[in-house]
Amino acid sequence: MEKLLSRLRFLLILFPLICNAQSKYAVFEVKGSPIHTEASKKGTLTKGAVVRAGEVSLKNEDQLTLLNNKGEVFQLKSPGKYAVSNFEKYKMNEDKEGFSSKYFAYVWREINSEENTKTNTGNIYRDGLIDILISPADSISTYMNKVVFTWAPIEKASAHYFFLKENATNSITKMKVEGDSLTLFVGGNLLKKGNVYSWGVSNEEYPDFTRIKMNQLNYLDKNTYDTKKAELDSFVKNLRKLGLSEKEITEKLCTYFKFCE
Amino acid sequence: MSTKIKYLLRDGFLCLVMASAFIIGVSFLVVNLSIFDPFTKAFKDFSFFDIYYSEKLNETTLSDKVILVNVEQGDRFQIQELLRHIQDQNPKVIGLDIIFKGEKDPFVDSLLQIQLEKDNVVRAKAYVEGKWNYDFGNTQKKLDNTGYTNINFGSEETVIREFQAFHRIGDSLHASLAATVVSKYLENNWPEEEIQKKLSRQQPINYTGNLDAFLNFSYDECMSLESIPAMEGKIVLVGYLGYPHQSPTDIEDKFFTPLNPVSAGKGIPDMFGMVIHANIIQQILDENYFWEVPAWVDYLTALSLTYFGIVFFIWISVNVPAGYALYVKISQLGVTVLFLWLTFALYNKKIIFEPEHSIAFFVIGMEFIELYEVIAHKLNKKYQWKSYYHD
Repeated sequence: MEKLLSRLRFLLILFPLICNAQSKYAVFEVKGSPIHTEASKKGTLTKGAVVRAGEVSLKNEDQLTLLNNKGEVFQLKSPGKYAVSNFEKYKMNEDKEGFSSKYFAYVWREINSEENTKTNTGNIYRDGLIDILISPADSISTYMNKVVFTWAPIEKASAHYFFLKENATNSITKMKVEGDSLTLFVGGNLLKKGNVYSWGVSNEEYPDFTRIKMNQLNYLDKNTYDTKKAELDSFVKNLRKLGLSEKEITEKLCTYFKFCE
Repeated sequence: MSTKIKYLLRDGFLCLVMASAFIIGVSFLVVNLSIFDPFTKAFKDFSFFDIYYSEKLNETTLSDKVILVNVEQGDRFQIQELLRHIQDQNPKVIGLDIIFKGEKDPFVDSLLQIQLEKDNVVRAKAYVEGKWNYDFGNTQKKLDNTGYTNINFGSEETVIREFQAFHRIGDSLHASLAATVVSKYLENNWPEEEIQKKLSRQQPINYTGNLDAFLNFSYDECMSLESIPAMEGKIVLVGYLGYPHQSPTDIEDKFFTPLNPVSAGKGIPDMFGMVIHANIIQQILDENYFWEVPAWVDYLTALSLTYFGIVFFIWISVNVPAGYALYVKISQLGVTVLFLWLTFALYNKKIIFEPEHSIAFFVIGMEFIELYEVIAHKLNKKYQWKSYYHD
């Protein structure tokens, strides 16, 4: 009898644990950067992550679609904090429209000949290039010992990827940069005078290069630099006569002749 | 039974015989005369069940067991890195919808081979023009870890509506990629003999959905995530889902399915091969099989419905002649709409009933009533032949 009572006691202790067994939710789709906090851990939720407990907070444009072990779908759309234990409340509305009403709505559309017309356009689309590059401007020639690359930061990008292509060999160097500028110095394997480079910035590690604006950089060697400088000498003298300062002259040369010292 | 009713029932039967002879004759001509080829071909790829999916009459669900990863244009080195990364997430089974035909770079191939030979990896093979295509290193050609990617064998249809999970060639019974993946996932407790016998015949695919019904990753997405806990203990299929990921205009390894929004006429393929395999896996795991109503039931339904329809409208033509033409047209439309509703309602319950015969027999049968009346009048005039119209 005592044995039976002890077993019953054991089952009574286990019962609430069984009832409160945690549900597991896999992140199916994510928009923005929802934050998941569990105990002292905090992190951004990404596709494929699994949440079991804690809290999820959504900012303005964040959205989260989750899937549980039964294949049920839950959707969090509004900004706010959501306890994982309350996710059941956000179960996506099952298709309330019944099969028959969907079918007869289809028949009605067919009878009315709705959706039967089409507008065909015989063209293709080429999306605009992602152009965030600021300086050096496209196709400039320079002889400086350091080149400062700057760009407008991409919104919500945690990091930027800087790509430098040597045009002659087609070799590409990739660098992860946490900011909106990068300075490279002459020498080493990266920048060599006398080479022509293309550079671009993306927020993706493996971007579609057909959609990224790449600026050309002509990195002049001493001879080419001297020749080019000599070509522009008379123009520079004229500008001096007009009373322009050395800084203004340098700017004019860079803007109009793509020759930046 | 009065003589009048006897005549009515007999006339109904004779009219049905006339209509049936016409339908059989036209079907024979359409099937056999090459001049009708475009006509035949246009209808060959049409099924009323396509409307069921394209109009989303089914309940939409998401898969909780199968995850898809796109290899895009990755080379063998990148694919082996991807497989290694996926293995780190502890999936139960990895199914490969790629055949690495022939050797390339010895170093890279050996790295790839290490990944392909893992216990939980199911490799692909394909039966093309009477021979099997295997991976370069699949020398053992084991049946339990290699599945065929053929969705069906010898099908004349362009739209993928059916699959065959097991196929016998010579003395060997081969399993499809989907069946092999499920077998590994259920740890060889599958299939039972009865299921294997059933799936050795073509089975209708119960589609869960297109790419949006499965958790899917592009190559970059997958590689950039250090950990993907959702993959743990799940089936991960690795194959091609377009380049760039999910590209709607990329048609490599893409097929027409009933989910295509254009259910009749010309459209573009709508589903990648790997998504079809994922749908089949989901269907097998959920044991969501269809039961097909035997063909004799289809024909019996068609003939009895048409017979009673003809009898009723012969009676209408004599007793309510003013409204006859209108009632016939309404009944033709009504029966078509209601039969399709019944068909889809049964499909919803996993019962396949082909409505084409019933609809065709009824619509054409009704059109024969007037012709029958003309013939009956002529016979009556010439031979004093008695019918419901003259008694």
